[in-house]
Amino acid sequence: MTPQGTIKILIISPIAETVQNWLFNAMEEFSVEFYSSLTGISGIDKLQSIKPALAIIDSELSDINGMSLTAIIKNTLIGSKTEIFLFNLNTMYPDIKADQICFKVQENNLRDFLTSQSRLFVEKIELERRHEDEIIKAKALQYEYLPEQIDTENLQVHYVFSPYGDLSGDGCDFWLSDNDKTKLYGFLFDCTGHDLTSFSQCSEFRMLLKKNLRLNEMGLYSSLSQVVESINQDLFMIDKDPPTAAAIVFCLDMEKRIFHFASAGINVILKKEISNLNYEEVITPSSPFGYEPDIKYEDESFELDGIDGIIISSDGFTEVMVSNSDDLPKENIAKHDDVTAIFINIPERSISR
Amino acid sequence: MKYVSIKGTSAIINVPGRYDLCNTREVVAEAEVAINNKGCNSIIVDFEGTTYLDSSVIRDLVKLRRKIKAENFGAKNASGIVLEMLKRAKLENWLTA
Repeated sequence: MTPQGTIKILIISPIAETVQNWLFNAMEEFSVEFYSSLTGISGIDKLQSIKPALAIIDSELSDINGMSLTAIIKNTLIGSKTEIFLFNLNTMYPDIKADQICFKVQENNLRDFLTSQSRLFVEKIELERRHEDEIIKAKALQYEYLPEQIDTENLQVHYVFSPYGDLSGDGCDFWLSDNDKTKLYGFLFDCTGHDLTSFSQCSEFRMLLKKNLRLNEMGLYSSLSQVVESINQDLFMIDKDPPTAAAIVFCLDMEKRIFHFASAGINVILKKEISNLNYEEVITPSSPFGYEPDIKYEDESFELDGIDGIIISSDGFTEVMVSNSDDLPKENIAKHDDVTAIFINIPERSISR
Repeated sequence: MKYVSIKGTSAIINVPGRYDLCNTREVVAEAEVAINNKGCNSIIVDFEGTTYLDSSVIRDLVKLRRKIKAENFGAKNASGIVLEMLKRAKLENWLTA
């Protein structure tokens, strides 16, 4: 970016002018300067002098393969800081350095890909520029909120917290019961988006979930569904147009060997039998928080006999896990959302009577 | 508009292919233009051609439904994974035809 904040985009392609027109029309409201090169060699030279935030490189250049050009650029000091979209790929070699790739597709699909991805990139830069300090603080804070992983003889609880961008719209927490450590309480939630607004919503949901699940631990609720219903009602009491989020609360009772849960929009849990390598889905239909104020949620449970693994996750995780399914569009294979998951491992000895 | 068309006073949302986090905000923005600036007083989500739906879309549709009032909101032509996602969220009652 220039000191004035204009975002520079360099297009290296025999059809640079066409691409530039697509992007220009799609990003009229942003302060963007476009530069173009028709060949790879002139592109390298231009990139070093312009220092663009984004370079869009055609794989099919007249003088150098676009993938090699990308690797060369990425290994320079300036290029390493430049986001690179590589398009028109026919094949993919190891060690590809581009940040985004697009195989050879029809022109309208290429236009959609380049305009949507470039817009996302420019929006992100603009947001970062406007809220740089807040984002840095929020980014640090979201990691502070994460729980301590549990590693005991009877139970191992770990998590994956992988924001799509700087900030995640997901969150989770878990802990062992204060008095006897025989129960594992926890929750996981998924708010829309990955920006400061989502971060603020995450804080609200985290607070509500933790407070009410702690109250449940103290015996103020008789079931997890009551916890979820109470949170949902609170949301509507606080705001007549409340935020929406998907969430799940759970309690693993190690003595009674039962996993209890109540879901509000996180409708898939994965569990694994000891004799099985694969996880199976436990599907529990439920509406997200913020749908209707008087909605009823349900208590669910399953026994832990024969179970040695449970995964509770946002749908960003289940999507990539089941992406090999024939039912799903193949673009699911790419991670495109926040991914958060809690992995509960129950060593065999802890569940034998 | 790319995803929203206007028929009388209804805004018709139709997202071919994948309807997810990548396009839901654009859809919401277009639907809000239809409501605020084009005089639309109802929303119909036509899932014809939609092959996938994720939870962020459901949450955004919940918000649009609240904005337009439940009686002015409906959906149609859901099948396959899209229908399954609506059922999982207990929202199959959105389907009007």
